[in-house]
Amino acid sequence: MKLLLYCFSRQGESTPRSILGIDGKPVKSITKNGIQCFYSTADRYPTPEEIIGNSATIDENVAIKYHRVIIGFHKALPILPFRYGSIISSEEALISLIDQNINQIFQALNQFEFTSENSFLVTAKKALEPETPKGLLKSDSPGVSYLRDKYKKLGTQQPNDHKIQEIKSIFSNLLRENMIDIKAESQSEGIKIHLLNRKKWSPSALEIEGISQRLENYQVKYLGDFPPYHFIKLNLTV
Amino acid sequence: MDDNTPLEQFDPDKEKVLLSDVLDRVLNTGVTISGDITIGIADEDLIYCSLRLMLTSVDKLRQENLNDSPES
Repeated sequence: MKLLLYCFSRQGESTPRSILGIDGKPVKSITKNGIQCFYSTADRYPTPEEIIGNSATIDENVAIKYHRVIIGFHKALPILPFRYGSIISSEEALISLIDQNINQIFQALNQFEFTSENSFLVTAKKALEPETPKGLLKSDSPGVSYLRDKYKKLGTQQPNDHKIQEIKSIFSNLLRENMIDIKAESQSEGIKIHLLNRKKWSPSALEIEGISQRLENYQVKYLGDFPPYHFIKLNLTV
Repeated sequence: MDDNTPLEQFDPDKEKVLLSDVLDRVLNTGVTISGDITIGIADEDLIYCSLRLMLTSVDKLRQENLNDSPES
């Protein structure tokens, strides 16, 4: 029976009662050497071995449901979340996986047990179009079109590495009290800032406003409180 | 929001998340599993390969391939 893995925690944590697995399956757990792993059965999903040679598609709706399950766990207990699509062939294989990687799992639990990740999206504010002489407002002349295009590009320009460092340091300076680590990544929708924080902390509206004021040409959106996804580097071998 | 909430009612703003962020997070981060498997056809072992037991987004895969290339 295939298992879809959700997360690791220490032994003794009980499954939050409100959490249902993907496809409404009950969430179960296996405990081995002080490590607990939560999963549900997932027979309709292919294992990676079965995917080889076939085209695999990712169902966005299932991925979102998976996210909700993980967040449900995160709110209730300290966890190390699996990447979506971690399917293993049997309970025996899962026990063997824990056995073989026990030291790494404990190390990660010790490192991240009392932490959480707070993420922000920083996007450039759109540049305002310059005031155009009234007669040219509706002009399609090449010169006016050129200037319009130029300003549109300015409005969507991505910050360079120097700017990213500057943004990181503004976050670090204003939120350093609860911050353990910080990461920034440039993506098509903007800069994502991930803070590794002491657990149960999230920024106040005032703190977010303070950051927004410091980032004059950028706007800040708080994405939420997550398990320390971007800081866990745990690759288990079977 | 519980698991039974219909997806069409999923409101990223209300949940303080962006859909793309959720997908990026669950597909590109978290604990991964790697292993070695042998692919056999008709009882004959043909290919021995290292396998990453995960699904990932195409963009991430491209990015990883670029980072792994000798030119980078």
